Amino acid sequence: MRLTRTVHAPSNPMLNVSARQARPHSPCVRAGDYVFVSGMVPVSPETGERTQGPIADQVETVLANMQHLLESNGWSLDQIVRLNITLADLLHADDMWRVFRKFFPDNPPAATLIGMQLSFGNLVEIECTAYVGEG
Amino acid sequence: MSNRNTVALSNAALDCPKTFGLPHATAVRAGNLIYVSGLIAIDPVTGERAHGTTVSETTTILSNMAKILEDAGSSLGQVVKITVWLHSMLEQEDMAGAYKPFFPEAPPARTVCGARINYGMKVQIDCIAVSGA
Repeated sequence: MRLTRTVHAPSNPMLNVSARQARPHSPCVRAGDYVFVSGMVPVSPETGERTQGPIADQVETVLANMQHLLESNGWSLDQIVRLNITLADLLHADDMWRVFRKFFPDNPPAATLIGMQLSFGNLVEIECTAYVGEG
Repeated sequence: MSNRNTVALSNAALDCPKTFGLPHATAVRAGNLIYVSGLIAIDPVTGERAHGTTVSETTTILSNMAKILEDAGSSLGQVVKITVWLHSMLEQEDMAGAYKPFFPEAPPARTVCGARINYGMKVQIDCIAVSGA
């Protein structure tokens, strides 16, 4: 059986970082029943520019944009099965989880948190995998 | 019934997010795949963090991962992708020595990466496995 592989983008072009910054990757790729979302950093849905600011705001922006990306394609946050969260500073973990909890109130996904240097002074980057199969 | 389910753990001590009040699951099944969160070394009796060496933490994590996968109807032999974060890449050989006995044949794809790990742990490991023992 050959698995279909399709590329998907957010309906708001300001949030298509891959295209706006001419990066050689896609916002997300569907392979069979699974969707693989690229690492997302905080970007303003109005201007398409990076939004610096407190960690809580940055996490809120990333997860809201992730929700938009999924919903643009008929999927939803509650289909996410696993996230990989990278923080520039692990001291921000508690604030990150506080915002995270608002987006995943019930049956939350699996998650991995690490601390690592990020580009452009971003405080957070989040990638995820969603299951959008039947059932 | 949804095909995306939180894996119910037989040993509550291994439910690290619950122990520490974190809003994520330890493991989630989606279709035929099981996604396990990044695990740190947890004492399977007390549920407390088991700080140790890179070797001891790797052994503890993979022992616990085996149990979590069994609860999901899978096993270490069914892991397809595993990611290991180390507090220091200088200790990669230590991790590799402790890791090897858990995957005696046809080991999964693996990424090893140096990163900072929360709570001062030395090792964190997550994985994706297919269903079935």
